[in-house]
Amino acid sequence: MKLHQLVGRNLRRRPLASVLTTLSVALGVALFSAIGSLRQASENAFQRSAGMSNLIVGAKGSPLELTLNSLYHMGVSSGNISYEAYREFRDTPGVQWCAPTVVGDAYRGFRIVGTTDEMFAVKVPDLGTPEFSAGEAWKHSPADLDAFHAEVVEHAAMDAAAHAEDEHDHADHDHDHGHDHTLEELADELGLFVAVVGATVAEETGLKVGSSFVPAHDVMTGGGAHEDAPTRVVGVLAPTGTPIDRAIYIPAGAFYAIAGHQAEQESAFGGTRDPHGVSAVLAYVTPSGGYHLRTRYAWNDRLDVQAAWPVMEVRKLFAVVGNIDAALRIIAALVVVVALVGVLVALSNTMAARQREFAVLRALGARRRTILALVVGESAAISLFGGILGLGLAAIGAWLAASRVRAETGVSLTAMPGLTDLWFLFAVTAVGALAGLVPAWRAYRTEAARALSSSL
Amino acid sequence: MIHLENVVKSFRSEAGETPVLQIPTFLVNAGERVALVGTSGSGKTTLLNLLSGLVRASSGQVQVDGRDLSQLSEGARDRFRAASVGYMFQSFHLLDGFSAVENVELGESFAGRKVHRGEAQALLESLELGHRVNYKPSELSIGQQARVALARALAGQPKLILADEPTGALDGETADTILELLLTRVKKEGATLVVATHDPGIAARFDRTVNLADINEVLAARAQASGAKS
Repeated sequence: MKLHQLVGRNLRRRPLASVLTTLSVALGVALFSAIGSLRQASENAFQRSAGMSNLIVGAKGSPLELTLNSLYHMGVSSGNISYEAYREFRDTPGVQWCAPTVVGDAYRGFRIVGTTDEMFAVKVPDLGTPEFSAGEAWKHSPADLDAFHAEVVEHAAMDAAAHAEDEHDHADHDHDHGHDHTLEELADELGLFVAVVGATVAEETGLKVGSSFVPAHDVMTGGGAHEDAPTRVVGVLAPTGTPIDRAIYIPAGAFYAIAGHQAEQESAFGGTRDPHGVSAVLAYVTPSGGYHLRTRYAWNDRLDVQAAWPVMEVRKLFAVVGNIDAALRIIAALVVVVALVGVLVALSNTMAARQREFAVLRALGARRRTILALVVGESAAISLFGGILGLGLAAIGAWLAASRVRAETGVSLTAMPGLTDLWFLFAVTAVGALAGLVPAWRAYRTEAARALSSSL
Repeated sequence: MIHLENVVKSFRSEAGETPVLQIPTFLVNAGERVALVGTSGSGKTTLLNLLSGLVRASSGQVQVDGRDLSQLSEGARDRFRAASVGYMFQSFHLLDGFSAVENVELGESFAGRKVHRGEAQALLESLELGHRVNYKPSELSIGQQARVALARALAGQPKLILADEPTGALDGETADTILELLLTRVKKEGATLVVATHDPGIAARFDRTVNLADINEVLAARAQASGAKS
């Protein structure tokens, strides 16, 4: 019978103690591993999403807030930038790709993003441009948007003039303010009340190609519905593991046309909000030749806009999270230490009762160091099995947490134990073996002849 | 096989070194079956422990199978015991968490040889325990436990088998059977057998009986001292 068989048999002889001590180690290791792997996976996944756009232009304020809001659809937009700023940025040298976003509407908790068809040309890291699982993209180029926006501005100007005239006449006339048709009619005529939905949206709302839905105002509260703007789904995107999965994309022109989004609309959340402007511009500026750096500095120097670098903002966010994470990992490591002390105590408590066993083994020819190795092996085995079980639990916990994160942000996490966890497993096993030395030393010193004669 | 010369074994106590064995000479031939008789405390178990190398003589020579155990390190004595000695205890000392066949395997686990489950099983079958190989000691009768203990002592075909009151815990009929098995199996294996017993009836069935009172000078000294007091 080999030593490892003896170790295994001895652990099975005391199933309750073995299971409880193994579980205590497992819980500590699971906590430690889950904290680390989730943080790392979260950062990786958020960075992957951040890789879709290396510059976001938006209203002055917090660059992190701008990043979270425009890229991850979290929180509310702090304000708009002017449409002219968007056009100017679009023509900036080095801008390889850019898509404006106008936000403020939602459908069943999913953000509706008004944009151009450039949005579907975004490059998702490790994936490329998003594919369609059904249907296709709508057409609404930047030039189309420019043309529609001009109509919007013209309508606004005519409305303002008519309003002034009404004020002058002190009369409350109900007339068409001189328009041939309303913006909604124009948008409808141009076929702008169409949408492409992300994979998660399709899955959770049941929207599919051909479905219609009515957008509602305000992403946070899902407030008043725009009954006059029923929107038809023309495409469903395949999963990307990014916030794209949780968004509904409509032509920005449709957003401007929807009643309630016109000039008199003021921001409910403060900030500078140009009703004909855009919430943000997601862009990819070529990093070579200093274009990215120059563009970022130049646009940040302006008083009306800021330029956020998403990768850096995510890094800063996780640097803050990292401090909390480090504190949690210290606590988790202490839990592991306490668990290993528990192993030591549990084994030590059995030593007196096992004197006869050690004496018999010695009488059968086992050397003292074999007895030492036996007890150390038991301690190490509990630590190893606890560690492996802990990593398994951590993987399950991380998987559950990843589902939650995906549901909240659309970001797909792949939080599996990594090399660090394997080192940690090795360390836990080694420390467990060292802890086993305390009871093992007592076992080592067993005087076989005396123990046998006293246990006759 | 066994040759003891001027062996003294003392134990340390609060009163100092207390000798328990003092044997000028003791010889056992290879293949011989010897019964050590003596009262409780006469040093039978200590002598067996000396012969197995479990304890070391305070002085003198303990030659077993050509090796002077008194000169060997503890590790070397352990290796010697694992390879050459089978030990059967009075209360058998089977390990609770192990099945009968595993207990037998333990008998040769530390000799550095490959242990074959089949051999241990065959040994138990030869002792009419083939149907109980996977039973735990607590599931066996006392007689069956004795057979397992005997099988463990025989495992690995040791040259020397030591038994300390092997039938002390058994009733008469079972004791008789176990003793018969022990004697016949040892003879068949060609091993040397030294059994400690306080029962003269048992001792009579051995090739030779050695009374500790005759070879242990400590006992003689004690008797002299108590005689002088009275």
